[in-house]
Amino acid sequence: MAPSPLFASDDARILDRIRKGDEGALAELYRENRKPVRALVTRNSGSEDDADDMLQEALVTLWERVATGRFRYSARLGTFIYATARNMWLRRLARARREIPGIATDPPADDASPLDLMIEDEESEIIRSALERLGEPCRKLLLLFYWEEESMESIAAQMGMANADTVKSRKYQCKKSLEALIRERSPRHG
Amino acid sequence: MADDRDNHIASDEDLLSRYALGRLNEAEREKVDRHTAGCSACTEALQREMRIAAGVRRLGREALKERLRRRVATEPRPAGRPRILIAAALVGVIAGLGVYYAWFTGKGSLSPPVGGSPPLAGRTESLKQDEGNAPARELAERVTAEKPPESPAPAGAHAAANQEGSASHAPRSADNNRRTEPSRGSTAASSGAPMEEPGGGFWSDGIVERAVGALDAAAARGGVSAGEKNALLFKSKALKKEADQTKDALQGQYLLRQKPASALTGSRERSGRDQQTVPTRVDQRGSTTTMTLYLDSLLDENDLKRGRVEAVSDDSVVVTLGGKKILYRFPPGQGAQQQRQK
Repeated sequence: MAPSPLFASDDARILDRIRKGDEGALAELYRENRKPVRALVTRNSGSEDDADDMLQEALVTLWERVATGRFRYSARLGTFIYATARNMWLRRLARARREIPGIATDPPADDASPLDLMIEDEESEIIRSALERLGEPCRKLLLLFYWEEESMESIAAQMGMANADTVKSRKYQCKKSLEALIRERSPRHG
Repeated sequence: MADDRDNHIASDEDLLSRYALGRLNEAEREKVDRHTAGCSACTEALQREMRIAAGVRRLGREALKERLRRRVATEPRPAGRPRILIAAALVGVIAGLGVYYAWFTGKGSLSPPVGGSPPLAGRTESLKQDEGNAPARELAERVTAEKPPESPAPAGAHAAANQEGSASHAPRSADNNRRTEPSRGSTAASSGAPMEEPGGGFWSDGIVERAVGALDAAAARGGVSAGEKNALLFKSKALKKEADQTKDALQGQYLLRQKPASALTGSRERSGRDQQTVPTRVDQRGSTTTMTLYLDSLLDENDLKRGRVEAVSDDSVVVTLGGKKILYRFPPGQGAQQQRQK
């Protein structure tokens, strides 16, 4: 059969796969963008592992934005990924107080929300550990709400709850349980 | 929403969450900021909410990164690498044969040729140049200033989404009961494949989407459970959201036409009388996709003018025509994703 005439853009297809939750799309983007990102990072004081980490971060950022409806298609996906990885690497370098020859040193922060930057690694580890101890279904509910930014109605449908009010109530209880677990590890969070 | 200082936001869960997730508009955010400036309890509540949101998001990101790492670790190495290894192996074999020949015949020398480079050197140098990827870097530096390209913007139709992969809680509204056969009794129909026609086009049946409006109909009947209501609301909103995001970018590439169902012949004549499906001929000319719908009840010029392609996914297209949504779903093996893999 001749190729379907309905789909002209690889990017549109990749984005739609991401919307459907197909992580294979990210693996495809990883393969396509590994080379330029590795070149960028390794030529600017980084290792290949650093480069792979930046690429993964950029891909997760893309995933997050698409899944929450915040992605705006203003350039090819390869360009977005390269620019995001570059900004992230610049930020990491700036944090490590290194000099970057040949490229700007004021990284734009449009690829990471203030929320993502507000907690330190140690604090993040405490919350992560508490979330793991929290167990299901609270863990899933909080992930759906805070990470995937699903609506209460959508969470109700996905988790088999009666309605949005039930989700709100359950979310409140889950949050309180989580806060209690966090306090056990870090009393200053009380 | 906290309208004044007497209305503490510390107990407003919804507001705290929307603030933390950046879902407030500027005016709302400023009100919260003004309020928290004079309310230490509210400030603490907001900070707790933001820390939890940040922690949960980081957990989600890390989990996805880990799955991605595992996935790519089990896949082949980047495209350029195997070619180098093959080239190196070939060079090694050729060099080995040369050494063997020189040793066996007593001719030639084992030293490298004077003034020449080893065969791999040129390849390695060109690889370095490739990896520089200057065009990509230039593009990346321009990324914030670029206008949207002419290629299709991101598009999607959740109506056709299937539960696949490990990730995902993304909105889905699959309806597994829809049929995609263009005509009954044919080989293509029995296999679920769209009918191919000479000239590269093909036939497909659109399924009239009934989810949108179903809630109102059910409510009018006086009976809809909470679960049904949620599911229907969710589905309607998902479709509408997709349509809002994609219609402008996609519209220029599609031309919708209508013909009366009576113009259908043969096996398609029967499906043309089916009120739940719309036999459609799909043809590609240049960059324009023409979809000719055969349906008597929609033969209204105004309907046609207002018709539009609203969403495209790997295996489906959603068209709105005459106030109805029509879903075209392509069976496994015929969608865009499969076409790309061939």
